[in-house]
Amino acid sequence: MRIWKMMLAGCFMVGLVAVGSLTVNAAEEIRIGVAGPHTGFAAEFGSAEYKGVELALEELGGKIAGRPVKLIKSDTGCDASQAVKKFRDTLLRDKVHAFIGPVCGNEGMAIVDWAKDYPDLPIIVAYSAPEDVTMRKRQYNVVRPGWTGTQTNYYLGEYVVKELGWKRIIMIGQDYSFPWGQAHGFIRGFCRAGGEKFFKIWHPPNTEDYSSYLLKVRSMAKDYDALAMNTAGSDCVALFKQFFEFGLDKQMKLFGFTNALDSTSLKTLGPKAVGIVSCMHYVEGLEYAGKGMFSKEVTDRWLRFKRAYMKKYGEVPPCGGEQGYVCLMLYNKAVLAVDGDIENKKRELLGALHAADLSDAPRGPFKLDQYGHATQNVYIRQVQKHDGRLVNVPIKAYKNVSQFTAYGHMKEAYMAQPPSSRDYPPGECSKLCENGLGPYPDGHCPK
Amino acid sequence: MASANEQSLNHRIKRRVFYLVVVLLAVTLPFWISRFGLALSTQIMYLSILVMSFTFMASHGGLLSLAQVSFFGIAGYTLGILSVKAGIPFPYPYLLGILMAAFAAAILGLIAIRVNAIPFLMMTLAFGEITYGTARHWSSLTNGDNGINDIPDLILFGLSFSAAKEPVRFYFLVLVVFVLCFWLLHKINRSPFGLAHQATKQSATRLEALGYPVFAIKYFAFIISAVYAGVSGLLGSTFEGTINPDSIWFGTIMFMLIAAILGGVNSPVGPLVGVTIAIVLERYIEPLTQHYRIVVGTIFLFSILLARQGIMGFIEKTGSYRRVRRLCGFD
Repeated sequence: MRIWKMMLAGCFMVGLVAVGSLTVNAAEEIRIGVAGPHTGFAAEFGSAEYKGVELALEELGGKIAGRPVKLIKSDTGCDASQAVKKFRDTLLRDKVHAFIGPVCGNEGMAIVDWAKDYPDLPIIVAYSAPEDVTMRKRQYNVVRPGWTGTQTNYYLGEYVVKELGWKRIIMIGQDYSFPWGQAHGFIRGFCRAGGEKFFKIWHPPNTEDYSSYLLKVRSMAKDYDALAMNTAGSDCVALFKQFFEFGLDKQMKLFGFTNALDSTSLKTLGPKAVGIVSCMHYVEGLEYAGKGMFSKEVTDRWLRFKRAYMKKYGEVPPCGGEQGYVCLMLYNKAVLAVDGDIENKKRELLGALHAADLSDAPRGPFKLDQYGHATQNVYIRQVQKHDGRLVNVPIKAYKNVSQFTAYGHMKEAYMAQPPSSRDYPPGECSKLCENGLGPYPDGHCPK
Repeated sequence: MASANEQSLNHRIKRRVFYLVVVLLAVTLPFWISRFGLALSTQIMYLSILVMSFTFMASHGGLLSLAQVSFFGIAGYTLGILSVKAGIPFPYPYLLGILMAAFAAAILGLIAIRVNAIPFLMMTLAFGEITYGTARHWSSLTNGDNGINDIPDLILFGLSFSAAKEPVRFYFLVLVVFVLCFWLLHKINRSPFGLAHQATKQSATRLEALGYPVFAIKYFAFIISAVYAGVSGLLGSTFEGTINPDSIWFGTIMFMLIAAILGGVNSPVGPLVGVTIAIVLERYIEPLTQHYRIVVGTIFLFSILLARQGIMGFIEKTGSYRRVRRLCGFD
């Protein structure tokens, strides 16, 4: 009979768990969980988010509504199951009042479902960008002063066709929800503007060797105008370098979706990146924009933030940094609106989060729509060299873009479409219509 | 004669008292432990079932099967796909989840059971890669990297067993399943089949010579272990409410191996001890330092250096262990 051993282990387990449950909680403290990847290919986005939150807290003097704030950092590793575990642990163990995060697309999709069980818990999504987080799966307690891959890339698709004349494009992208969303937005804008074909190559994240993909690109290069990088972080650096090593720069153009030319990777990409076009709702070289693009007020606000960030961390604020900053500022505004009484006025707090005025955000003014997502400017940007440093500079701005891009007047029809996936929408513009909603803003297909 | 009877009666009473204490502890646990502790205890139990399925193959059959995590995933994905994507109501996704895990083992077993030791390990690892790849790349079925989220709460006899809203009920559900699994495994190990299974590790050729169908024994044991892993996968994905490719790959395999080795592969309570220590260490050291992996890794390293047979193997050798054992009326 060895069953008794189980009993002994039971006692042991109970003892260990009990020790951990004796944590002391200060009543007046506000605890905020800041979740994002600090390991893996997306680590830089997670750490940028945390830095932004830290900077905002420092500017607030470490307090919100007179109550001291404690940040609880957790590493989700860009892994959805880790994200759910870390969110639950942080909520139950540290009894946090709100979350800032997550960062990766797959994490956001898992967290928005997890959030259903905690309808009073504010979750301010920092960087996670699949549109369904604030669209098909939206929850009232989940707001996103961030972006979606579709929102930003719709206008890039339009831009490359209309202004650059690239109508045949190969894309290399990471195979998960965020790049799918980016491709989705791009294809719609691209097809609407008269693009011809868009060939998709997906690869698993954390790929270091792109030779097999680039060989394929080389064999197809003569039929295509440009290669789109739908990757981020270390993957993108590897792809960029190998693109030139393969001599593909002589055969076709190169451009990137959003994160591919993130400010953190520009230094690594080097001078070859100069002139490359991408798009985003954020530019770290806003002050170098052509005259008349931004009011002095917007530029000044941006410069103040940029200088504060550079002073504290010695680097140009990447997009994730600004979003972390905005997330905490948003939470601060909502808490002030309920006079710091976050324990009792939970519904009011959520209402205040949705209604908060964000016209003073460093990236440019924006507001949250009825689903809790930012309606904001989207910039076409170009890598330029200013003051001896590579920066993205806005060359065109699309003002007040909602998460529905050009389909704002037909939200229901838009949401009735299948969510973006690796196969939807198809790369051939003619097939896009077979699936229902066409590339035109009125939802119809070209005859 | 009378005194022997008296002694055995005495032992029986002691044992009963011991069981009573343990049952009381387990049953009252939700009422004095924190919410976090309760969530951890729930996780510890369903992960113990997974590790039990691994040690069952490892200690008795001498086969290190990394495919257990895949069976865990196959059951979880079957549950997810059937209940979320196909909208099939309660008992069927769960039943089919277990069946699918057993079915996968039945197929893999036909090939993998033919080899031993390292080739077997490699084959199960390859199977893991296949399931991971399928989960990740067959996105029309599995949603790819997004995973399947929003797995519905269990509703039994009109009662909701939501892991988030009714954690106490969910804990009891997992407790019952755990105790059942533990007891059943104990019975299997003591049965003629279980003894023959142990003999396959000690000397398969002799067993063959005695007329036992060695392949069939191993094959059947492999399927049983897959059912265990499947049960764990069902509980796990219901608890988490989500299943995705990352949760059935390296992280979980490493966790399973660490917990199994730490607890002791040869002891029936090894899995429970190993999982408990691995989880508690990880969760409580994590908030203290950013470099918790280094701390946890070092602790694991030392515990394995000091106790080759795992913690249970180490404890079993000590004198106080025997004293406690006698005090509780065993021997």
